[in-house]
Amino acid sequence: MPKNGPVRVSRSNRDSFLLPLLIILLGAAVLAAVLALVWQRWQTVNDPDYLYPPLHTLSSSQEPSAPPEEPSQPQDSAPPEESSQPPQVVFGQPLPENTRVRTDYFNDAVFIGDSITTGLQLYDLLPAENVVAYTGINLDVILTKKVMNENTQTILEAATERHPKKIYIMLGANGLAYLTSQQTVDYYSSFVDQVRRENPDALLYIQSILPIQEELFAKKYGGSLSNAKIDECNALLMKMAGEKQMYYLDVASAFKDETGGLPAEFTSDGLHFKSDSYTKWLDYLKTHTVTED
Amino acid sequence: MKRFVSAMALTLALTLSLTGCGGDNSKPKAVDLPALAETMVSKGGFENELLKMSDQNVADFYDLTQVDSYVVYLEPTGGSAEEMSLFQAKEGEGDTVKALLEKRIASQKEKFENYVPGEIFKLENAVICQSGDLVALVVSTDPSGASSAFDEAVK
Repeated sequence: MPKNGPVRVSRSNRDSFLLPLLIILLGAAVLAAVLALVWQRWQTVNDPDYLYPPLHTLSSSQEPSAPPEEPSQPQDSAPPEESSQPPQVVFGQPLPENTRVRTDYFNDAVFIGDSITTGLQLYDLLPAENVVAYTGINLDVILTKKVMNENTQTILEAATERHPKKIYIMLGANGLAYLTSQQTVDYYSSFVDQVRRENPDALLYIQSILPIQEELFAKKYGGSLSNAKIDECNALLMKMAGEKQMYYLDVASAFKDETGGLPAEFTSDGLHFKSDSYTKWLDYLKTHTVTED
Repeated sequence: MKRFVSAMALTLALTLSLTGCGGDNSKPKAVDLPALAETMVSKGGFENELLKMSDQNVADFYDLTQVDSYVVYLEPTGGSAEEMSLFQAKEGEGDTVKALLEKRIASQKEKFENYVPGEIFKLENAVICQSGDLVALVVSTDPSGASSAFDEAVK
């Protein structure tokens, strides 16, 4: 006969009930975590950018930009939103506009050129170590004429010695007065081939020949050069850059007026730039960059 | 003989033109370099606007080993050889700096002769002024005003 008093529940019986429950819950949590990980991985692998990351991405030295805002009410006056993806580069076409970079993007660059490029240094827009330029240098002698460092080095030797990560080249205006466009591009081609051989890891930017102000130019230098010829040469230059998988910068487009020439306010002699023009030029370069992966 | 006389005359003319100003070389007078440079630029007969060069640029164009202080103005667009450079050399090094300036003229001639030949006459008429260790180079269409200002300052 049972004794009177409170009903006792065996402790061992309660434990045996809770333990399987806990194991089931724990198992469910682990399973959920595993499933979540698998799903996330599946999503990533199916992202085309994961399998084929863009060849050309923005520089890490981009100017800091504000975090993206939630889309608000559409307004006609609102500026177009910038795409989060960098514009695609098509070789043989001008490099498209990209997010603006800071001036320190040029810290590991050298600028090869003639008198026009020397202005980047003279106007203190770039330090001397980033400019390897010589007034009057022509493409037909650039690989052989020792004009740098007290006439002991060629332009390429002086540039290569600086171990640049980026090389900007602007040449051709001087020789175009007496060479054909094709001859100019042939010399250009030999030069950039050599530049690439000597600097295989550097980014190569080919800059278009800049337009001239024909009247002022003819007055100072004679009428041996025209914007039509410069345009013809630039078209060949862009094609050459494309064939060599080099980046073509259509800097000329930033300086052309409605007639396709250089506005008189940018120059005093029709060819060489005043200081404001250099700022504009550098601004174009800052908004047309790539970084190769 | 005629050729010899011509060559002698040319050498003499060149020598005189390169030392076309300056006074007693042994007794330099202390001058305010930036102020004198400004005066020489304003009276230098320059066709173009000159720009005062930064220290880094001057060091890139000139060997400053024997120089105490300097002010250098250049035509910055690259289309002209115009220049006004004023150097206070280290004691007793005025001639060394003068030699640098003569070298600079030769180098600029080489640079411009096939590029802007119209600038060569400025380099041929370039004036190097010297008073002891104070030395200046003026490359312009008419450097006489600048050399007079130099002479006046060291008088």
